[in-house]
Amino acid sequence: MGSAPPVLDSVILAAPLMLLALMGVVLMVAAAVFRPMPRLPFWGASCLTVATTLVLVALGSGKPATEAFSGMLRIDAYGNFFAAVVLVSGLFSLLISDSYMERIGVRVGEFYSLVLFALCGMLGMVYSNDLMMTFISLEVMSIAVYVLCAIKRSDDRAVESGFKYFILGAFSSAILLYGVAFVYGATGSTALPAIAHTLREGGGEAAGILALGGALLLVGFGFKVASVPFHMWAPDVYQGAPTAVTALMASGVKAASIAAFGRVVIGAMGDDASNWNGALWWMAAATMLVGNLAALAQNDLKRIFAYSGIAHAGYLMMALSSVAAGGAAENGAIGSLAFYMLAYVLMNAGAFAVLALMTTSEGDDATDIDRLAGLGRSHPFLAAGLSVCLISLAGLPPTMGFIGKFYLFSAAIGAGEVGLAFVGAIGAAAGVYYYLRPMVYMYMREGSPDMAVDGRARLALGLTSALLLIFGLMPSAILQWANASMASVLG
Amino acid sequence: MEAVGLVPVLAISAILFTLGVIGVLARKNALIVFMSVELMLNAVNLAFVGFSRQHAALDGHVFAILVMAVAAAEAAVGLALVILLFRNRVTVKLDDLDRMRG
Repeated sequence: MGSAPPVLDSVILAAPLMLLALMGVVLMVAAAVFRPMPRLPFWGASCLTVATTLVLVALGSGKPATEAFSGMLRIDAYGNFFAAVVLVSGLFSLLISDSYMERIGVRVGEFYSLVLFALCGMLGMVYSNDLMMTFISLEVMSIAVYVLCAIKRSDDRAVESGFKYFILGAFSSAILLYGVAFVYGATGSTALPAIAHTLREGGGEAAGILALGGALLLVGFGFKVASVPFHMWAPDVYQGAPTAVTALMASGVKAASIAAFGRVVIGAMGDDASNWNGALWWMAAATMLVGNLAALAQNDLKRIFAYSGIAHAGYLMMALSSVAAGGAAENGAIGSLAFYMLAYVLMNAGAFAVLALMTTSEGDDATDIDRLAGLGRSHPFLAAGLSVCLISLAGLPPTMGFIGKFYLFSAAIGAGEVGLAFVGAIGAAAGVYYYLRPMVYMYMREGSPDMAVDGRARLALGLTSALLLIFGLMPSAILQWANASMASVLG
Repeated sequence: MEAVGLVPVLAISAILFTLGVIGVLARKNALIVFMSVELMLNAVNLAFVGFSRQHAALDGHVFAILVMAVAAAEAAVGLALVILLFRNRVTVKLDDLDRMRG
């Protein structure tokens, strides 16, 4: 190990986390002092903080991997990529949230503070190099998001959503932590490199305890990324939470959970992946099928996106499974996981920017698919932007979603997971139906949709759909970056 | 006094954890479910401390304290949510949480 770096070096290395936590505290105190909350300063300060953090992450990229806080965090290309993904999702969520929160009648400064805390937790998860650190960061993120779900205290659906998320989140955290305890028991450490080392030496003295720990970890992460059979909380929680919060849950929370999951599967359990791969295979296959098929029967857009998120967790687990199985490297598709994650976050951010505009004059969310009827005529820009996001989610060219799915499936086939790729293709084919259904409503049905006016949501939608098209046509730069990031964790 | 071995510690931890899981899955009262989650976390703490002694290392003890801190934060938010739930619905029965379906 050598001598541990002084704390100050670690603090500088982890500057993005520090900045988010600091500003979270500052805004929390300011929210208590300035009542009623002045909207613009709070919104501006939180956006500026996230943007600055993004710059800090970008400045840190390109440097060799370094460990901070005695190996608790590993600042590497993998972490930097996913940190950027998470921060982009946070930025877009903030962009749509200010006027959305005003529309639904929630005017509390704590909202911005909690978003920053949640992002801080997510960054901890993507950089985490230790199972305990993963757990603590996960809780920092989750506890903030529980509160965000229920931030509209008078809305019983939002409170119900927050409570359901809380109970299942706490339940799955406990399962995950029991897994951590068993892995610690079997290997004597919670640091990912140390676990990997022990496994390479022959798995420690207690193979049974290790297998049990691995299984519990898998269940815990399964809950967090909403994979089948641990997905049933997601639709209710996504539907009940305020749309701006759902946007963050659907993109940032999922990206951070997948990133942490990936580090554990690839970085620690890599040499034990044969034990995991069977379970991962089945979970990925079931998730892709169930998520896509269940979405077909939904009429509420938020529920559709919840099931779409479940299906996408399946695609991402397929990528994990194929990276863990090896063989993806030769195919040039090793970066597929990271690339698809960025695509997923962008398409969701764009779609939720439109959903956030679907509030009634009483300040309630009304995201029934009928309310999109006639949008193509009355709001051509919103309809076009949403269409780009939906086409990308469906995985059709010329969007980033298409390139991402292409690399995902070629990675799976390259790793010899042909059966899994086949199941995924069936799921994706079913997915095309429910992604194109909103477009039928927008362009082929008559209606006079009632959408709120919000320039910043339009900006978010315009940016995401433009990026989806640009990266769909010119993916090489992002793909290179994604490949480099995944290579850094494979070591 | 004879030192307790690892196996009884793990056995008690497993029993407590299972009781917690059953409580979460089978009970209908939000507060009882919440208490069951806390029981699960404490079962984990016991396992951490047991393993820590087995390895003759201190980090497991530290983890237990970290977990307690997290559990306390979780309890603060969880109880606030239960109170909100009661304010809006005048019930804390989980069967009544059915406002959303698809």
